[in-house]
Amino acid sequence: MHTVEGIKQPALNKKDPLIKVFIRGLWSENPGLCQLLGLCPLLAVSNSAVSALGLGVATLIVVCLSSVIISLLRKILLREVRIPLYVVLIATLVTCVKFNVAAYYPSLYDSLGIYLALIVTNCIIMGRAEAVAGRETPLRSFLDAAGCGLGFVLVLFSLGSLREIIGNGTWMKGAGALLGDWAVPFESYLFSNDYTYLVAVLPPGGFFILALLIAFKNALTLYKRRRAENRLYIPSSRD
Amino acid sequence: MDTSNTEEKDKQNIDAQRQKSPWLRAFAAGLSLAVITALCMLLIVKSDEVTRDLIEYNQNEAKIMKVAGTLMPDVVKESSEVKCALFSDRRIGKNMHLYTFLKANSVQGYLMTYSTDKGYAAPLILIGAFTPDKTLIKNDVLISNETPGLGDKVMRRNSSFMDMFNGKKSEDAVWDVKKFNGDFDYITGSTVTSRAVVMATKEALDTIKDLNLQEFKECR
Amino acid sequence: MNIKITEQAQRQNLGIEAAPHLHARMNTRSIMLLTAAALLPAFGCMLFFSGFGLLWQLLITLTTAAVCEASVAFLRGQKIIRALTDGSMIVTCLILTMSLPQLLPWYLSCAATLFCFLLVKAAFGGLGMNIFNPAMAGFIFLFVSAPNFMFETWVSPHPQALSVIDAQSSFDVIFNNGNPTMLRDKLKQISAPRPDAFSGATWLDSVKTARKAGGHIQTDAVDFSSEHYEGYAALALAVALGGIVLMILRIVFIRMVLSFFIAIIIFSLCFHYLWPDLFLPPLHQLLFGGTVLAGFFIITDPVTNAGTARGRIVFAVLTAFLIVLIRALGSYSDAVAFSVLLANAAAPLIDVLTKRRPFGVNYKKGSLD
Repeated sequence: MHTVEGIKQPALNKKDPLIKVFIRGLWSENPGLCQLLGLCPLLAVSNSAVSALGLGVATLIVVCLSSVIISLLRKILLREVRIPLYVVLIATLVTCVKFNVAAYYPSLYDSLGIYLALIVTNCIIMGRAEAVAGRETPLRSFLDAAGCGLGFVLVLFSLGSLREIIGNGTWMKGAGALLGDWAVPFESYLFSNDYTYLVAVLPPGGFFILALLIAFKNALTLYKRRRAENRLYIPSSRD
Repeated sequence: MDTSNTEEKDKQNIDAQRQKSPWLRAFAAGLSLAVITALCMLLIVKSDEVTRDLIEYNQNEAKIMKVAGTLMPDVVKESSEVKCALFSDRRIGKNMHLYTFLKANSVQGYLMTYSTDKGYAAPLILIGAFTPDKTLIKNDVLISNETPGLGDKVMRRNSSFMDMFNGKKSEDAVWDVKKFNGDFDYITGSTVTSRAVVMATKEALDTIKDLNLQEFKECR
Repeated sequence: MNIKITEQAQRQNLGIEAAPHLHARMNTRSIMLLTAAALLPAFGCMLFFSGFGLLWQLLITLTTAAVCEASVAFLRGQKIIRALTDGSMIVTCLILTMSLPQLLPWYLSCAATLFCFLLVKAAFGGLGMNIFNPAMAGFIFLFVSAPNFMFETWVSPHPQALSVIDAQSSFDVIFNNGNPTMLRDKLKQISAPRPDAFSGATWLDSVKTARKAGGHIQTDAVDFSSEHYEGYAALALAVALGGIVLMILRIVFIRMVLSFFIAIIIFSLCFHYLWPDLFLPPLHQLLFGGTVLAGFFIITDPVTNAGTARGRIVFAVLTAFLIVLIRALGSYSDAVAFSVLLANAAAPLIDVLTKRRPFGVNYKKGSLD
């Protein structure tokens, strides 16, 4: 396996089948719930399901494209200058995505505001570039990036949905403007403003709900691990 | 064992290269960075060319058209041309826009942004649609930083509070909230914001009467 | 039982001796129950001036809190009865009930209590480990989440409130989605006409609106013996009574309470002299808005205030300053809860900055001879 500058190195996790590389980013190394990367846009943009989805898809596109390009160029990049090169490539991709969103999805552009340009600083993209794309073949890099990006989209969407439902009583408000007319039936009005807790769409609510999601994921992982441990020896010690 | 030997040899080769000619290496690094950056800049310039006009249209005209479509749809249907003027007035703030909707050089309606500092948190910018004889058709809040849940209830998307301004003229009513002996309702818990909106609309109605449209700058 | 004796503790001779031990008479439960008992006169006073709704709110908060504490103790593997009978739950519920509006719908009080006990107290570690005051955090949660309810369901204190807002009518409003405005209007009808133009939800809210509207606040019109304002004065006295009893029993730190009130008086005197349109005079600062309750019971909560003696005084002065400032310049009309939370956040830093030097450390050579 050739890494940056063509150095031959035993491939990381070379025994991992391709499907495991993809699934890893979705659950066990989920960037939003496990690695805790990219929390700034995660908390800022997720006060409605639609803008969360929009930012998630933009991040997914950027991370996949950047991983593939960096992986294709990995043999000729010099080691000392690889990080600035990653930044330049990622910034270019984000700028192109930003132009496209501003031109064809103006309402999404208005609701995302500054966070669309901030994708450049999202640690997920840089992390995947440095950890995987600089070392692996394009196919594995693409799958890894797609897995992480999809994991991020899932966390964004679930956080956005929860915050919008609890704080606004609606779900997928604005879906028609983002996705097209076929998505208009998805816009639902669930309950009136008398029963909503506005704090969920304000910044504190984002922190609380994200913390609860992380706790939920940790509880599930712990439960699975305990169950696996219990199967190995009996009686299990409860500490 | 074999791969580690190759890896070691590769590393040694590269380290040797590095030590032999550090200047050459630095030059190569800078050159590769410059080349790739130049390529990326080309890509950006190209995509900017393709989307620039559409973006500008979206940011300016599309927004105004959308707001005008909700506030005065009949006027928009009738008009064929929109002129934009930029002005500042002591009563409603600096750099406010006045859009004149024309059809064959006769005015169909006006759209004016106006601001106030009487709200809780600046900026509070509203936009109003006016008939050719300067009566208010409808107005709405464009930009607000008011307290969420309390002050931002004045916006049209949250409540029908601003419907009470429809069709009003400056001399029609006492422009204050009922709590302070005016004619207008106020939202419980956000008297300040409601009052700010009422007084700003009065100032807008007074200002648009006095405007001399010829002497204003054209908007960018 | 294993007692870990760290090396530092051994060096400083801070280990625990072997049994038998003498038990102090003051344990957590007795302190908490005494505090709850000291809050009862204030609670009774508030009940008289605000109507029966307060008792329903207390019932709701106590039930929800009991369920929360029991489930948390169960999940942690602790004894449930023990978690329920240490009195901290009662004190927090009393303070929360006295801070929230009296006619709040039951699901909102329930949500505030759940947030207070589960997220602010249990998630940080339970009794003694929380950083932020649970009652104040629960109040802010509700204040930010449902601000219109906070304004519509508040009852201004009035001596005849108990006759209008009795058990049945408040039950209807709280549990059956009744309309609180009707009840408040009924109360307004039987009271004498007000000499001032204030008709806002709370007095502080009226002041804020008047200030923003550019009018001068008519503070001279506040007569504390008139029926509109005597409720505030009576409540302050009742709280002070309970607080003084606690001070005598050495449960509450005297220096802290004194420095808090002196700081409020000094700050409001200075600021009111400099900017009379923005800041209220000292008497009004003290009597309106739950300042006295904060001074005696909320900032003296031993879990969430600073650790060192000097630090506590700094904490009290900081809270006083923030209360005066936020009341004048803030967007929401309640300042005590925000100030307390900000001071709680600063408490660990205050601890570090006011650390005392242990005897024998950092002395010049030969100075102890």
